[in-house]
Amino acid sequence: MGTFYLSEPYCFVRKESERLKIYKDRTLIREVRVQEYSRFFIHESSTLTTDALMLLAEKGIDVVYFSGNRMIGRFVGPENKNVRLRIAQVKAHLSEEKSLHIARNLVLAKLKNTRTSLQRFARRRELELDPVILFLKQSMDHALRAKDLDELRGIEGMAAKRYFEAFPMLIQQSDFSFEGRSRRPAKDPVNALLNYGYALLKAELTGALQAAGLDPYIGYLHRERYGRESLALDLMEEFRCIMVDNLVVKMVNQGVVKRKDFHDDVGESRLKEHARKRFLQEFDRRRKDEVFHQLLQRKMSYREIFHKQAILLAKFIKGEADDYYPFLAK
Amino acid sequence: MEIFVEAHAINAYAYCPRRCYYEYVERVFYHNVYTIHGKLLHEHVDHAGREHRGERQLYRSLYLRSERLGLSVRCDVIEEAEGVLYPVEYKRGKQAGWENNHLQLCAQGLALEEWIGRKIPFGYLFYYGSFRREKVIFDDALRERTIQTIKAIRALHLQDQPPEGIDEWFRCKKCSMVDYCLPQERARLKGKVPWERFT
Ligand code: SF4
Repeated sequence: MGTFYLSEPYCFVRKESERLKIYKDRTLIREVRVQEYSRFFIHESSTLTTDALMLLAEKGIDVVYFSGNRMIGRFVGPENKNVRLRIAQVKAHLSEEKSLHIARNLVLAKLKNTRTSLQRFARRRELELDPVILFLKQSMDHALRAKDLDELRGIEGMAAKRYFEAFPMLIQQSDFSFEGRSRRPAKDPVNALLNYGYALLKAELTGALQAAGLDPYIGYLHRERYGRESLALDLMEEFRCIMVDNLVVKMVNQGVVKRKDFHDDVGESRLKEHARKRFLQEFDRRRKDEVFHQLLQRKMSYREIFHKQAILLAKFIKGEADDYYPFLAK
Repeated sequence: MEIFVEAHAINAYAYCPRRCYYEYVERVFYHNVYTIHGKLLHEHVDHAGREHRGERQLYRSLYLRSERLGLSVRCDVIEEAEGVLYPVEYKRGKQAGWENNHLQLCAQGLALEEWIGRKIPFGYLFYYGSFRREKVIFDDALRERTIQTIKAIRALHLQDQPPEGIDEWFRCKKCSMVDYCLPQERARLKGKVPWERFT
């Protein structure tokens, strides 16, 4: 079951029996059978009737509202109200030791997956990535020995910095420049793509965590700011590079998105509407891509893995599993 | 009595105690096609009320509590024919004769007995798959097993961790909790992550 993206602006969505009818300028442009989707993404300028919203809630379909590339809210139907799990989640959050343990595994998985990804690039394209690959390996050793969350975050931050210094080497289109990571505003098209991809990934994982009964706002590695989906950000670490960065690199290198698909909006690089749609399509396709899960020793689609990881995390938090087993790509 | 066991939990318990724990103690709500299917079928019996159908009188969606057994029960349908009241429970599938269904129905009978103060001698199971009714006699042996199962479920509510599951794949794969319970994954992921192998 996939995600339905309504990115077409100024649409009006009505319910008719078990279907959604999408109108634009009073003409029907699409009919959707809701059972085929597990998530419904809608952009700011479009309208859902309450009927339609209720149908989606009743079918257990998440409705996520987007403004540009920012998730601004979500509407969820009956939730997994696992009170015991929520209590365990907060207890773990308050325990420095358990928080560190979870955060460490997340960081290690991120470092490992980033390394795996760079090793692939190095092999395929004979890029000189050895120094950064080595740095990531050493970072893993350090992370294994980190004494507290601050030290762990420092290690992770340094590794991310080194990784993004090497990142421009992966991009083969000369008209795409990359001057280091910039969140808001995105200073260049590559950053705009990364930000968009991360926002979509975060929305996915927020949904997976909620389905597993976890509170996406209570995190372990990310915990400093109130009102952020800290746990979704935590879980994202395993996937950022393999799922989003690589997709962005691929789309740029293969010319799926071009320099002219962006416009400059007072210093912020923005994706034009048609290109945004294209990105959504590619992202959706990638969710269905199968990858080998090293620890589970089998191939699964990303969306399946998102849900598995959320539940595996819940199991460790509850004390039902011996450890949190992250996603490691092969 | 603090904890009221739900009669529906009996069915889950008989299937697998772990499933019962997830569904009724942790109250996990995890979507999967089997549960959705069951839910849709239930919709038409879900409106409380009373009606006549030929000689029979029907009461729909009744909630009962037994203080004595610490049991709360939702009855799909209670019928009355020739002065005898009996519960009718609707089931997906066509397979008759499963003990778990008998236990759950018997629990309804017990709660109903306590409520009206009269003996309820039997009930019916109705199977959508075959459109058949199965008559279930509430004899002493069935009553005793029902009471024991309710006790076992009450004990589950006091546990911090789920009990062992049945971990039999032919049943797990049909279990509504399989995507949450992850029996195959649990078997694989034991102990700590062996990070030395990956650094
Ligand atoms: S998946 Fe198997 S072990 Fe787990 S609850 Fe269901 S039947 Fe029990």
